Amino acid sequence: MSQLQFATDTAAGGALAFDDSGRASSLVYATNTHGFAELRSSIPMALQEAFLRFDRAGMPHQRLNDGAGTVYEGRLEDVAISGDGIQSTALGYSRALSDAPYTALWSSADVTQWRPVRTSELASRTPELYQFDTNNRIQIALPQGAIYGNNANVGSQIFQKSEGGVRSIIGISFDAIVTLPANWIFFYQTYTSGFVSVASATIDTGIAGTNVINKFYTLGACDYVEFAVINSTGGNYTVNNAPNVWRVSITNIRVVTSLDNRIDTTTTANIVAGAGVSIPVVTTARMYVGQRLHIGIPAANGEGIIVTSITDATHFVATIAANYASGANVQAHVIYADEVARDLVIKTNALNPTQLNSSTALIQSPGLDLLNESYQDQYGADILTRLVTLGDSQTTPRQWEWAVWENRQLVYQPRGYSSRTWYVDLARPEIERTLNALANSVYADYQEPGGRTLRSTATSDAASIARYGVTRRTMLNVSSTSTTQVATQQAAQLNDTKDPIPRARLTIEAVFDQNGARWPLTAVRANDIIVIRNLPPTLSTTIDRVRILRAIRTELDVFTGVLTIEPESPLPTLAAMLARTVAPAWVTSPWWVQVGQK
Amino acid sequence: MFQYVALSDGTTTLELTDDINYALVSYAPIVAPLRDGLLGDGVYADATESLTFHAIGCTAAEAYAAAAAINALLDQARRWWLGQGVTAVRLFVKAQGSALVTLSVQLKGRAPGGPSNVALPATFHEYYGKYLIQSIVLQVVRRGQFLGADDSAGPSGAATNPNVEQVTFSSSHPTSSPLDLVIAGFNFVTTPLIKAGYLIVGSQANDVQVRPVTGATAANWTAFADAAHLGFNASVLRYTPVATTASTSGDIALSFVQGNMALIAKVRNNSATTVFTVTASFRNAYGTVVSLPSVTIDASSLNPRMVFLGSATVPPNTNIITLTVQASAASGTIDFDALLVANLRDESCAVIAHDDIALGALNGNLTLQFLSMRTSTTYLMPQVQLVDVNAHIAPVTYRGVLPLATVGADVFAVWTATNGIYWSFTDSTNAKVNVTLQATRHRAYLVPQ
Repeated sequence: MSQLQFATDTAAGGALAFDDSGRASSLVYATNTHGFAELRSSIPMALQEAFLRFDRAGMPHQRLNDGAGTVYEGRLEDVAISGDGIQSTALGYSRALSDAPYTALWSSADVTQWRPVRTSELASRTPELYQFDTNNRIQIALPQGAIYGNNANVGSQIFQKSEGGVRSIIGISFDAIVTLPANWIFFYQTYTSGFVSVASATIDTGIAGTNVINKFYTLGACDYVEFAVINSTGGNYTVNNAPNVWRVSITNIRVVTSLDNRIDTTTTANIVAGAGVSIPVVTTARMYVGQRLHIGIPAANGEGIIVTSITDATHFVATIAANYASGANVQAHVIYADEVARDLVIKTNALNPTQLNSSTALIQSPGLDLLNESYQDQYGADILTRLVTLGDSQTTPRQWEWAVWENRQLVYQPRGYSSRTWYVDLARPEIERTLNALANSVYADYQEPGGRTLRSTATSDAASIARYGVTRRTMLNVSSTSTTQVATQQAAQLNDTKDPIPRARLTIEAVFDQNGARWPLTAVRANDIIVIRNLPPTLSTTIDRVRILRAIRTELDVFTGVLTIEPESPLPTLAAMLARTVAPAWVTSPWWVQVGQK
Repeated sequence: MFQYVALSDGTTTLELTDDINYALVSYAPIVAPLRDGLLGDGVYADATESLTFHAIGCTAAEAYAAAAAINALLDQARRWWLGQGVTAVRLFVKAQGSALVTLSVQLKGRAPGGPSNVALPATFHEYYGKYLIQSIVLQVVRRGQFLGADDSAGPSGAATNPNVEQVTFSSSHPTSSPLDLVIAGFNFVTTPLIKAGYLIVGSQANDVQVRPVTGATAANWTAFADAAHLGFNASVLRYTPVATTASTSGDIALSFVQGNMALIAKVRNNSATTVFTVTASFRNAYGTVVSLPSVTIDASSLNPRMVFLGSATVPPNTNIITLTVQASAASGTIDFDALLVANLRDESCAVIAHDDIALGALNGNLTLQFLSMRTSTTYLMPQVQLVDVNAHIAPVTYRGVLPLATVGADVFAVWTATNGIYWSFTDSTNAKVNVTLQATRHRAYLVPQ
């Protein structure tokens, strides 16, 4: 027999304030995909005591314990006094991720965010002497007839991180075509807020001809990055060429604020230029097909190459234009979602140390490079909810989940990673199907670096189309310029929606494990798998299509012992049997499972 | 049927069977069932009793006063339950021919939303100089169990901690009864801070087990000599990761168990950076495996700590535990001392965790008390308290279900904790604190007798 303690502490980790196990007159708690959800309770008490609780300072911590184990924990957010006592609602500590907005740049490949620096910002900058564009590139061009003073009249474009953002720029990579007069200098300059200089370095010097270069830089922490050109000929320079002959065009720009997952390896043998060259490196960790890598040595121009395949842990294949000696750098900036999740934990814990555990031990990495990731005044919960939909680096990209369970610790992991499986027997099955949620063909809207919307080719699930007899196509909005990221998200979405979400109401009396042992209903949580084991044998060939469900919400009435489970969708095999039945013309309530304990 | 029925708060006693002020007309006791709900505070549901009696007086005023006195006590009972700081009111009963002491039970007053405490008739009567208010109906909510005599057992010996202490009552009692436990062995000078610990309680020999783990060696799992840190044995079980893949220990034997089991481990992460994920599994004699949820052992401390590894329903003939550990890096080590296994079969078994206990102004020898408060006149709810020689009290923050309960004649319990660098709770001389166990049983009855 499982009995529960219902207690309120002065704060998370604080002293016991009240043990209301014997006083509560009603108590219902819920879990959802983000961990412990709400706990609603009523406790009869005198008005005086009710007001003492109502007016109590601090953030009380409410918990349900089964022995020393945690059944529920949350922070007491809402308190109401009524005639016979107090009604309160606690919410799980995932709420801590909605306490403060978060602004941060992680990675940007968006050239539209670059702009010329005005003279009013830096007196040495004279944008009127240059021509600029950000049409899928950053270009700084010298117009015909313009006259530039020696080491003056700088032309530049700048990228500024979001004002007030919590992360500083510490890395950049790009391709550039540099066609400048001799002794003109192409350089970068970094600043902290307010144009306080941090560092500057020459990228290239003009020659009689064109330099095609690829660069990978790590930077001292800064808020702005500026690309600039300057006349360093020793005297005034007048442009006599046709317009835009002299110019710097920069493409494939990536600005990042983390180096944790960057690729920074070296070749282990001499490389000869060619198509489809197998390139030996110390490690191919964090490389992926389609990734753009820098190869070269700092003193040289370097080259941008695209990974076409990864042979093993020390070899990848790419087409390469130049020869390289062993020991050449192979580098790329990489940003993963788990870095964002960890930073959210750090920032939230710093703001409210008792509300979210500082431990990041349960945050896993999807291994998916995020090319365009920037947040402005967004709540951590919203950010994570978006990130878990992005898929991962698996061959069939998985959906992910985030939650805050015991010890106020953020969990970021593949969906179902720590799920338990429960076996139930149906008493009164009610199953309905609808194709409304079916999407067996998906294309994506995404952006080119200049901001124009692009649409990917639709990908479809042939088995689903054959099973349902219809192609239902949906659009996925991807905020990225990375075609690799688009493909991954598209595959993840297709995998998730190729079977529709059915509706049902199932009443069962208890939950069992695979050994047939009966477990307390408190063991069932959102994200767990529910297996219905007593379906009719006539469904034998397709039985697995209807009996496996994933719960996205559980609600247990502690007084009546009734557990309500809301499944999100069946595992993919459920779809076929449902599709064979006649679809109702309406779509109303979500799909419910009710579990009653007797 | 009843020779004695009374309401009393210890000061005012109203005997409904005295035939002077009251005459009991009828009382059909409710036998409390097991609770439907899952919340603690005892496994038996409250009962709503209904008694019919006459209020009697030599004058009409006396009859009115007798009726009003009943209402006042029931009102007080409700106020006590609402936390208004008044003394608890108890219902006392003794059945005809009973050899037991008078049984009593705490009253909670009127049922929320229920009828009034007392329902008066439309008229009253005068018979031969006596004034009667006839057939007054009293309705009141009481706790489910009547309590009779108290029994004591112990103290046990002070064996080397952690040890499952056993105390035995002089007689067995068949009904699950509230239990008070007292853990002694603390002192305000030698143990000025009682560290967070666990109490595990059972009523049968295998309900509480402390299992050594040193023999569970396997590849990368070794016995590591650590006598200096006062472990359960001279060695602990050490896992040294050579990769970040999961690795499983050898078998840790335990006496046969089945049903709902909880597992607690004494663990030490010896790395300041590597995080370990521990998954314990039970296995029975036929190879059926039940795994607990994974638990993360972070790198926040290099000292031993007690970790609740979870609970699970295990099949019959379960007698093996294994530990599976996954390290975040192929570096560092993690050590395991004893495992504490708790059967959570029914309310006679329990796991209670408590936080660090500061002594405050307590003096002298100290006892850690897990009290049901079922006979208290002031406390509404069970309590965990640290009590000194002057009966001064320090509150304790705890997790687990109270009151403790027992059935039969035996109580088995272990209390243990860690302290700084030590696997055991130690005093100011860095010696193990070996505690004793004492139990008080409040004999419970569902049928008043």
